[in-house]
Amino acid sequence: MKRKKQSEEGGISPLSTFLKAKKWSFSRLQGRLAPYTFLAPALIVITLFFFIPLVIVFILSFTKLDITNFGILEWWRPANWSLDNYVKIFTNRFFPRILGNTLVYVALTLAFFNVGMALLIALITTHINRRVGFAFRALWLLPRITPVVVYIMMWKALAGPAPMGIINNYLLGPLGIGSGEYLLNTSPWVFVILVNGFIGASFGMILFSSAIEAIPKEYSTASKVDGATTWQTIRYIVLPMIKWPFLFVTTYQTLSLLTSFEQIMLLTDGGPGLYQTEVWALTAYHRALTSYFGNIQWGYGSAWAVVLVVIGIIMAIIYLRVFKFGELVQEPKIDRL
Amino acid sequence: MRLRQKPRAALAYLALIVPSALILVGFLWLFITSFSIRTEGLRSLGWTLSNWSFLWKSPFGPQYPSIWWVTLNTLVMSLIMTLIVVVVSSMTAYALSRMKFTGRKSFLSLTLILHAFPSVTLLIPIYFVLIWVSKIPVIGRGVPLLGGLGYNTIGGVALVMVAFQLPFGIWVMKGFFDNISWDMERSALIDGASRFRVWWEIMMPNIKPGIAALSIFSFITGWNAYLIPLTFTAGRAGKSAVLSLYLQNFISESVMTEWNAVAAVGLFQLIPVVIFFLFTQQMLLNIYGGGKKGGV
Amino acid sequence: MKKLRIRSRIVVVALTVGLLLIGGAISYAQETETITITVRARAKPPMENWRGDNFLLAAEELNADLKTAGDPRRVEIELIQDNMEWGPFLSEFVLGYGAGEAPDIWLTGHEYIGAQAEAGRIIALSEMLKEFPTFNLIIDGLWNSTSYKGKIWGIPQDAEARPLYFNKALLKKLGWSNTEIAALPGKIEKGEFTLYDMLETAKEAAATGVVEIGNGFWTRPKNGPDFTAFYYAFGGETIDSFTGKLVFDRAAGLKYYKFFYDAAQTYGSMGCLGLDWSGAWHPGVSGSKVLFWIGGTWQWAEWAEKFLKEQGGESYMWENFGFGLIPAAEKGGKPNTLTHPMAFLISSQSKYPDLALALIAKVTNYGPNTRHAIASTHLGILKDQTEYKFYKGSRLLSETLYMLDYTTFMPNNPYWGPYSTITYEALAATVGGDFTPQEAVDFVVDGLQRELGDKVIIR
Repeated sequence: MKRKKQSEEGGISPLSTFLKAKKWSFSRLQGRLAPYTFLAPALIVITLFFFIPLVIVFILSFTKLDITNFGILEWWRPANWSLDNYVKIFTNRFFPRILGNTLVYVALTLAFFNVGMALLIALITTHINRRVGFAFRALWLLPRITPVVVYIMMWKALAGPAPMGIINNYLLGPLGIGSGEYLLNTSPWVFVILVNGFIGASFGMILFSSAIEAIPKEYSTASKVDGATTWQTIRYIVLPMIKWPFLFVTTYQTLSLLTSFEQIMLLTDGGPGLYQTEVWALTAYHRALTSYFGNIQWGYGSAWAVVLVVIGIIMAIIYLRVFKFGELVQEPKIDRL
Repeated sequence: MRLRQKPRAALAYLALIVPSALILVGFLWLFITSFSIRTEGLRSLGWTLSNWSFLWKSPFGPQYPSIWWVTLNTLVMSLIMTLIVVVVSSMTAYALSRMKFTGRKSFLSLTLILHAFPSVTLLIPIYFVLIWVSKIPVIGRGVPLLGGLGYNTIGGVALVMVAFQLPFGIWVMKGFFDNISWDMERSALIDGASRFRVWWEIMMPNIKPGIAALSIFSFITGWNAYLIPLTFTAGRAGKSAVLSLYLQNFISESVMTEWNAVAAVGLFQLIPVVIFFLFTQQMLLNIYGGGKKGGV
Repeated sequence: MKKLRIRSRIVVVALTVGLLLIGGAISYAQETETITITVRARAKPPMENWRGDNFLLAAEELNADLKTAGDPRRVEIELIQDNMEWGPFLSEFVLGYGAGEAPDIWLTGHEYIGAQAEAGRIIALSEMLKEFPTFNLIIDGLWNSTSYKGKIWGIPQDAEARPLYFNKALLKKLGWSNTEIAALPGKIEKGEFTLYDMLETAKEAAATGVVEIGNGFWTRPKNGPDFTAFYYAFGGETIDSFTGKLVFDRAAGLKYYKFFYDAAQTYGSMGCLGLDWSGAWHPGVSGSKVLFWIGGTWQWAEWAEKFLKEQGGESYMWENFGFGLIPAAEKGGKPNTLTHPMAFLISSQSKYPDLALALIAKVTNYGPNTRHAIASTHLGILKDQTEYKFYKGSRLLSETLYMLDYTTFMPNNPYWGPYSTITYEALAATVGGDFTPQEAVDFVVDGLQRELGDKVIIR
């Protein structure tokens, strides 16, 4: 600002004005490049490990790259591309079931846990005794920070058949419900959603509670003075204030759930019935990377992945439209001085 | 009014307490099981310390690294990854929050959409990239400590994990920058400070809560990472193993799995994170930059 | 001119002397040349550790041999041994090979040979084998598992049997006498007790309440090699010996699916698919809830030490559990079992395949192999190993080694993965009642043709 003023006032000598103007344009160039120097590291990493791989995955999805021809097949040559993989996917007789499973899984887990439960915990724990609230949140963070293998093992113990299983032993048994079967076999979906939901809830819980804590205390005090009930305070003061984290969590967690498979793999591995709990990401993993006999078809697996990515992008775009993304990323105030 | 509200509140509490109890019981079982020979429900069928013996002697014979070595590996990898994630995300977020440039909006929506890509299916293409990076002299293979940034190096693994953590990191950090008033920054700029200096000396100290929160998240992700280290460290699993890979040694379909030992190792892996969390929970709660709009 | 010539001669002489000196220095240095041989094995520690650890001892022996033979080379072992899953273990080799970092010796399931040989990542060993007489000790039938397209690509390392276990106590409840029970394995071996005889017994047990419905006969809960043995029992073939292509036989397939359909629908069996191994399957079979089941010899120790320790472990099991071959499909037919041998393969990136093979020869002997077999409850792979003093010490291994005479294998074909997945999917649907046997066959034929095209022959 200072410098600009000086040059505007200027007029000390033609030469110095010229020099100053030169410098100014250089610094302007610098100013224009500055954002990109800040972005450079992220751009390099994202290009290397997201964009290039993405292009490759897209190409691979048209090839027959697998464990036998890896290192031999020239997958980058168009002569080796075909639509066969996609034909295979859409003629697969389990395709509708897998798609349906995925949608049900994402919708239910998101609604009940990643958003619903998260909001409930955040609201309750920020409105009760601080220490108790903290204890609850700490408890809900445990599923996320526990090694997946151990976490799933814990759920299998919960769902186990009588007399080993905890739910059967202490809940269903005394109530006389069921005959002590392995609950993962009798109601696999309930557990798939519970297992993922308990991990997913913590993400929203943290964002929501920190957003609620950030609301100035005067707001709720004022509404209490006005005689509003807690419910009304929540409904009319708190909820509108956490609109943005709410939208962010919904979008981000939809995508997270779409691409998650590890817990399901360890829990039911798509079973117990044929493709009963198999979701799209799990199929992609099964085809591309592993199976009991090393069923490793990278090309075919990539095609499954590409379809999933398309679904994900469509959902992301819809969310961004619905949630008026443009407003969220309003232009920065400080740029030119 | 009040009367009608009570059942609703009770219902809400119930909806919190019942699932919470389920978690509590599950982890209680995990704890009991790690000190038991076998369990039936929550009842131990015999107490033992042998599940924890991995702490003082390698259960797999002298060929295997001790748990402490593995823990150190995991710690180094998680810290490197956390450091890079924090620095890179805050640089990027600073630019996104404070500067006007072409492609800003698309970059922002892009980082969110990147999250739609299932990491697992990008593994093979990333492998190709890592192989190419390996071929670059010095960076590929010759970096001390990290071994390099290519395939089969700690640096390479850390870098890939950074990539998957970046979208989240950028969004979180942007929320914090958005909420800092820009007066402070402007006066520094007017005094002739470079943008870089402003970022490092003025902005960064002001978003400490954000740095802390993101660090915790990244550290936990690194600490529990499994698939990426597994895929990009060929045959070095024995020596540069991380805890999740170590845990895998106990599990097998074909031979007896010591589930009780798995519980013990799992708890061992979990405990440092829990302690870490207890000390930092206040910071974690600040992950949301505050304000009504533009957060996160 | 002359001077120049002389000078050039001097130069030549000097160069020659110099080269000789350098050469001498090199050859002197070579006297202590150490070569690192990388061994990659998958082993559940500590029981299966001998898979790799044997090489550490073998290296010492080999170095002594090399010294006697005046060979300047010495070997050093870099052993990488852990317990990752098969999928990642396989992709690790392939990806590592792509980066030029494949191990010299790779110990893996024999069924991967087809894919790796086809891609040129491993070398054929047929010719080199002849130099090592110790390989003649290996039971002849096992070489079938490591052959592909007329060549031998791997050295068998261990084997196991997958017997039909039966619960003696439950058979007694059904009214069987001790002599009848004791004679059962013999009857199976002679083909007098068939698969459907087994199902009849299972049905009776389920009907009389000796076991719960569904628990008459169990297989493993997930896809795996065991099922292929049943397909073989009904006369199925998996590989065309002439073209090396995969084969699916409709007629045998129909009988195979009908067997499992009947088992689940009418014979009170097969309530096992989808169960969790340690949560439900092992407790089920070891807890005397199941009459007949297909298991592995390696599971014996698990039941003894994990599930039945309080009841008395192995001695309790010898009293209550018995085992035989998988019965024949028809009276007088041949019973079978299936072995899934592990095999040592040598990477084509190995610079010293001769040393690698010499090391493998060292571990392929009674001492090292028995050490592994006993520690891990795997079957031996050598002729007359039952006579070997330490092997004799294990009753289970001694009593099941005869099963290798009846053994079958999975085919060494690169496309076995999709084949196995599709055939299992049909089986699961048949057991679940979603498919009739005919529908299952149609599903398999359709699926194989779609996924594998001309790589599979439908008969």
